[in-house]
Amino acid sequence: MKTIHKLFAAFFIGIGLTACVKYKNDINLEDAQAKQAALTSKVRQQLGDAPNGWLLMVPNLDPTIRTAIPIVLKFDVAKGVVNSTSPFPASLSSVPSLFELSSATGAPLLSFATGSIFSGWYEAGGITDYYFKILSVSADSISMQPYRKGNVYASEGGIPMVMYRLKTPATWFDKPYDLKAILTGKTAPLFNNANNPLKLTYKDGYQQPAWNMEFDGVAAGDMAFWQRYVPFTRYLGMIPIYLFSNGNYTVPGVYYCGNNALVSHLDNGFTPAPWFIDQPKKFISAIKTDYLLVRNLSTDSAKVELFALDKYGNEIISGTLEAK
Amino acid sequence: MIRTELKIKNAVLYLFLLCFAAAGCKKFTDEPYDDRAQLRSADQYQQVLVNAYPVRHDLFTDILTDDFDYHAQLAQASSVSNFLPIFMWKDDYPDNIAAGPANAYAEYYAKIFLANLALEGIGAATGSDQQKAAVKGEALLIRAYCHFILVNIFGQHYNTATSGSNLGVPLILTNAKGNINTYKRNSVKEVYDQVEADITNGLEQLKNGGSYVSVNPYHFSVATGNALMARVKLYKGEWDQAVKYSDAVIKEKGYVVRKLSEDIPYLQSSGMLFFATRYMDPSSHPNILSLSYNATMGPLTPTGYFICGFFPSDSIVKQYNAVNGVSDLRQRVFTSVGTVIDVRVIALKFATQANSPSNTPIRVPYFNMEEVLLTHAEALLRSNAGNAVQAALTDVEAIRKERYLPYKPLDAAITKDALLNVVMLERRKELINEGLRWYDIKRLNLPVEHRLARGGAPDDVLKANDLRKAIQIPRQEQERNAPIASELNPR
Amino acid sequence: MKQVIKLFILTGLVAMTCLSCLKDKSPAITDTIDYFAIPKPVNGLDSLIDTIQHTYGLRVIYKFDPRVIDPTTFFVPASYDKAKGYTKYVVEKMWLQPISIFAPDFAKNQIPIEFLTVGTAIHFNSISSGGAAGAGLNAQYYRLGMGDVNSFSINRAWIREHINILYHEHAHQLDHKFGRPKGYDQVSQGTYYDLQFQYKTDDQAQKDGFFRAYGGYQPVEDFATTVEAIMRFPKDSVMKIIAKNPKLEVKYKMVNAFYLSKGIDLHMMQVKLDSVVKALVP
Repeated sequence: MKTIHKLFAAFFIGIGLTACVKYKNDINLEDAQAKQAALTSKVRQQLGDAPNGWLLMVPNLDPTIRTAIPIVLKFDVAKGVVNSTSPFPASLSSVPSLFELSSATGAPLLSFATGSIFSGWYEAGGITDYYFKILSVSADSISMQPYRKGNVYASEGGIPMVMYRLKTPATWFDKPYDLKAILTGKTAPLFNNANNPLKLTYKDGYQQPAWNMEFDGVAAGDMAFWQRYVPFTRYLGMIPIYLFSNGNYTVPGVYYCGNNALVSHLDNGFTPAPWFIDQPKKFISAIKTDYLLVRNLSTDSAKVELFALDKYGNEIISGTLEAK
Repeated sequence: MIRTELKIKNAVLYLFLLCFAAAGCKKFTDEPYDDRAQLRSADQYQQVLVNAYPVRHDLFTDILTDDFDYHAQLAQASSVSNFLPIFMWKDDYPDNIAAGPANAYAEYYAKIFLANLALEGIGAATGSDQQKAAVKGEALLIRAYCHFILVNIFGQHYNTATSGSNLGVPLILTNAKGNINTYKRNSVKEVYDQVEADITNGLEQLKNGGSYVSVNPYHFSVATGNALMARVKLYKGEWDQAVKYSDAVIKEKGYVVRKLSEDIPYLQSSGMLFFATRYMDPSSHPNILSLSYNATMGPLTPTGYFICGFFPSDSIVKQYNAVNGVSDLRQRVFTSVGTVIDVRVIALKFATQANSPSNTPIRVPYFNMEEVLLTHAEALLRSNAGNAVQAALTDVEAIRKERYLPYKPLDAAITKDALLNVVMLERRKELINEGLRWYDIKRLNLPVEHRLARGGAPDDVLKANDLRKAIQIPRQEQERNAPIASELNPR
Repeated sequence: MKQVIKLFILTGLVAMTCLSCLKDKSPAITDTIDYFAIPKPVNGLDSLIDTIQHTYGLRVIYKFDPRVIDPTTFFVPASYDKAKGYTKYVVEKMWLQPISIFAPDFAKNQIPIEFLTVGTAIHFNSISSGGAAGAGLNAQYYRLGMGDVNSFSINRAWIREHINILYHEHAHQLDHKFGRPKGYDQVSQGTYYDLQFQYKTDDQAQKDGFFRAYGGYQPVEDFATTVEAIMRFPKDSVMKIIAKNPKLEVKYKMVNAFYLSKGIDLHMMQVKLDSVVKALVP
């Protein structure tokens, strides 16, 4: 009996002495750190390993608009610099945009850490954050999600989006055009003609009924206001013009020219709402895209060839805008 | 055999002793087992009624209206989870929180219980007939008031055509004595009829109550009874009757209006907190007909302090701005909260309203003269009375004179419609944050838009005839009172 | 006796067992998680920031990463070139350098350790919350942030004015830290404009006892705009302003004494900054 008591005591002492050992092993921060470092380095390597860059389609925030604007990103991982080409003239800036990768909070975060296309777009209300949670990485794609939804009361996480590795160099944004002059210049055919049909053909063969477009420039005095206060112009360099659709001369829509793109943008920061929201929205839902890229311009500037892309960078819409 | 006999003998003995003991208890169980007071005299019933006045637990309804916006940046986390569902007119609002429909339901029925207690016992109580009449009158008015608020929160608004079939609230006219009591909802019309009967009866009793009728502003009086009836008639759309009862109040009290210019100097001499505490002080404000006192700010939690989350809406705040050099003194009742970027204010009407709502007592009026005058004016203008504009002008100017600086009377040739617009705006501005706007939204069939973010599109719209204007019966009540679960407000 | 010895040994062992775990209760973290690691400089601005931190103990943050993420405020980083110019001209030359020379105690004890260069204004609710937005971030003792850095240009008036706003925002921090001088809020009690400040002119405000209309908003802004005014105007101009209303004189004296007690003479700093900016942008 006594022996059993002794054995019991020995048993408990044994448990007591070994019980702590496991605890120590549970929290091994060196592993966590190494894991984070490996994860960050893997993402960094992947970002840099794309000689033609990545194509990111940024979806419109209005849930009724099912289209996205393309942006091509090239990451220089040695310098921590990201270059972008996009329909936005701000992409042409020579000021470097720096990016940061961090995995200290678990999921890797990609931050466009200094002023960039994303911070400008964010200011303009086109994207809900300028830093992203990286959700998954595969050989040819990286899916990521804006960190916030954009409003203080909203839950975390914006609309997830995917970057695809480009197999061939993207040349869509290479040719700059003075679109403002082409559409609203005093001698421009598209300005002087009242009947400028936009004809678009979609990849599935559907042909959009012609949409008649007329343009007017924004007065120089108003331009100063736009450049100072309207983020889409101030931070992304988009030049506003007025678009009169299908003979409606009473309510214009605000339309924007980039270097080689025509873009509709909904801006609820300004009034009148029909100009900034309702008309652009109508136009977008009719042509099923919020942007059109310029492929070519006829020598007399009377005919513009236009196209739009799908998420892999293939053309899905093509057409013309012609003065008639 | 012997043992059995012995057992029987014993049993008989025990039985006898037990009977003796039980009989001996008869008198003993007549007495209360503790030292509680027995309600025997009219004096005691009068004291019961001190506790029968309901907290203004309908103040939360302000966040259902167009008078209040949500401002996330200045919303304490608890405010978001507690009150945002109510702000968005959801049925699954939380209970067990400081304010809201569940509190209102519990509070008003708890007070109806006490009123009924007095009404049931007062007949057999000792005391003079006069004193009994005073108790009875007061209890009837309390019961009427509570039923009236309940039916207006949880039922559709009174409508002559449909109120006979619209769901109201259970009428409790006698306190149930069972262990588990269940209640069915009466129609809106039945509740209104009972409310009117109780007021009429109550006023009759108070008139016989002589000196026993309390003149304390924390108690109901003939004037408040009339004011209550005027409100009931206004809500029913019986304009002549609303004029009659509000007229009775005006005849008794005169055109007594808060002299805001005498309140405002306290902002400078004694500071904001003193100003707010004094604002509803009945001894210095004869315009307050009767008011409730609550030891905490609970009922005012959604709208009453610096980070409450719900603030006077942009649409109403701008109504206080100076127009053509004429400023509205009521603007001084509001104080800015948050940073200058938030551009938010709260109304300092009830208490010190600091950052902590828990330990601040508040005083909230049941009725004040401004409401009575504006009811009088509105009912006149909606009625076919001959001198409506002139009489209504007297009411409105009594208020305007004390609000605008420099004061300039309205054009005496103003049209009926134009004056009605003035009256309705004054009503909104004068009574803001006093828990009355929601009933106006309902009776005037007004739509309401609510946004989560300022300037954005509305996140929900309460349509003019929206069924959600009848707030759903609280979940706790559905669970405890089974029959009511089959009588929920339709959606 | 044997039993006693046994008992003694057993108790000893049990005690040892219990005590042996005590240390391990706090897990054995021998190395820190380098969450806020300071990276190696990769560009000119990084080097400038390192130098500033080494000299003045304040780190400029121009790259916004998880450390800067705040779910309830909305702002963007400045562009690289603007952040660089601003850091050099405003943060180093106009703020830290003069302070460390002419008010060393103030520099040592009252300057935050982090500084954010924010591209535009500080928004609440959402980035597009309209015109109402903050000029800076001042809610934390250790971190100050200034907005509108994307507007930076090497322009004397811009730089001189921005430093006034910087002192304004920093005044809010000192207010949070120490509280306003005793009795300050009572001077203009009950006469604050609240939101009506928008409809007042600065001239009217001075007659009413505030240095600017904005100062009439609430005591917090009253305090900060008083500091701002002393930094903006030469002393004799300030004296002329305070002559307009005795309340101004009371508040001015309180604020001046408050800052003197923290080791800085605002009037002297105002003079110095005027000459520094002339040297910087001839």
